[in-house]
Amino acid sequence: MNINGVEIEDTYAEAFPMRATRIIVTAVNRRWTLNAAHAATGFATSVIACGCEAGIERELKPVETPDGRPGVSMLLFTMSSKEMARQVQNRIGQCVLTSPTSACFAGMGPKEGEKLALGKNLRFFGDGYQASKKIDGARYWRVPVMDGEFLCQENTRMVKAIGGGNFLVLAETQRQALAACEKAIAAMKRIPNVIMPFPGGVVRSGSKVGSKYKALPASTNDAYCPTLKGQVRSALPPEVGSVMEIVIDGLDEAAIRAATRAGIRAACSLGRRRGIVRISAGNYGGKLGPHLFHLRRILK
Amino acid sequence: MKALTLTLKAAPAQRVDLAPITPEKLRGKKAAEIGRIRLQCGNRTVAVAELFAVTAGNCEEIVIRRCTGKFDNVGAGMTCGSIAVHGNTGHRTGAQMAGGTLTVRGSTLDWAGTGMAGGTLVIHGDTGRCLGAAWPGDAQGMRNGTIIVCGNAGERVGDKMRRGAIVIEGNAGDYCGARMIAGSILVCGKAGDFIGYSMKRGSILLTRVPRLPATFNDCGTFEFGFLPLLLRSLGRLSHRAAALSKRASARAQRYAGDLANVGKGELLVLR
Repeated sequence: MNINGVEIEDTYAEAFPMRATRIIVTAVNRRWTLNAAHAATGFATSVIACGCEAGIERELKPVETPDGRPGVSMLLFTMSSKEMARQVQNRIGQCVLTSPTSACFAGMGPKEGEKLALGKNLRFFGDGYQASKKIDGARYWRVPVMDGEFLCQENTRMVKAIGGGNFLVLAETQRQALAACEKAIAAMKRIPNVIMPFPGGVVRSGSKVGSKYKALPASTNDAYCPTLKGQVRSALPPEVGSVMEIVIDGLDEAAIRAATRAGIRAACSLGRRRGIVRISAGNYGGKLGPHLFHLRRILK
Repeated sequence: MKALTLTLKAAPAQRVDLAPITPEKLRGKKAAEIGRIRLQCGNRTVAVAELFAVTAGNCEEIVIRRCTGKFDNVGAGMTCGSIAVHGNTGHRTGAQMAGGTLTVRGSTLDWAGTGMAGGTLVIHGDTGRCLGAAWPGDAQGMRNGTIIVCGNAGERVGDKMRRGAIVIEGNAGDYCGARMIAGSILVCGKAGDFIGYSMKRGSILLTRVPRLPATFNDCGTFEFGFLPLLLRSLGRLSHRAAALSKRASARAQRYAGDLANVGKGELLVLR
């Protein structure tokens, strides 16, 4: 199978179960909304060392937000419910509560998944001057802060989700791989219920499980490192000089399939003539997770 | 299926307790059975059929026509469905109601919504004293739900109110929000004296500065993030609240009080 001369390898991405929540952050204008959201989703590329994977799902118009101000919806993914509670409390407490004019709301339906504290514990920052308001069945906390009040919904919801969907772009040069990935990310950002948690949505340091160093749980995926082609059992054909990966976390399989499809098609739109050689995917022989995303089936 | 309709034949000589007429209490009953229900009337009881012409229909949706202020406890304790009253009602309208919608297309006497724990009470006319207030001996007044009064309200609106929201589209009498524990009261018109007297927590929203008790302090004018949410929610039931929510500004002048009590309540004058 090929698209515009780009070979689609007969392989699959292997993904694993995660927990996810959606949180809506609003502020006085788009700039301050993004300041808060970028801080809250910063250092959240991989659960390996960040505790969670997080990103901005999309920007919201004022008519789409609970308080009628510009907003963003963020998705956070963790490996456990306990870790999710810790990450939400720390990230909202340190990055949203602190951000001027911000407010924070649940981004999931009241009956989805299980309850997750949002402002429930953050309210104690109010030192007894916090006040609650129950509006349309939901409780909100008003925490007095130096610029006025921080408004935060008491709870959000947490659902079962999937992390680690991915595909690899194999190109002749680094610039060509990056150009294809940028195109892919632009297309994938239009798909709801997914985030691509790495910087700009792209990761250049794909990993394999394990290392020669005992302390490390993961290390560089040498089979896909172009500079090691003559040194290791490489998975790369001779013409490939650069590989980049796009990792996808989604609320369900359908969202990851849709994002994978949109991303690969956009990446392949540059075609073989512009140096895009092959699309592949990362897997661990089916041992890591129960969710398998076969590239060719998705693109049919 | 059309609504179950009770049409008053003649005004009763004594006060009548209409508490047995709620959707959950009539569920599964036929018109004849409903007609045999005994209602307390003064110091005796009368059958529903003696007072009302009963037209069979869906018991979840009750319509009471030609009602007068002689009927107390209309919709009291209801938990679901709807009751629409054409005319006035007496005391304790919607008292202890926990769900459903009670609409009075007229005025009510005192104690409407006392002890209310949920649901929606809409009064198209005026209401008397102690709307949503604590019944004597009760530690708390209204505990949840929403009350909308399109006209004026008497004294002691929301006395000891614990949660929920009250909207007075007209004027409110003295001691509005007195001894309030929490919750929200919106007065679109004028509020009387001693507003928020001894309130602990909760918010009283006003459209003009009232005569302030000495134990409320001005905190200044600010943006309050919860105001658009609250006004939009109340605006679904009240056109005056809807108009306020469209005014867009979330700014309000905040007076904290009652500082003679816990002092965590507030009067918010919308700007």
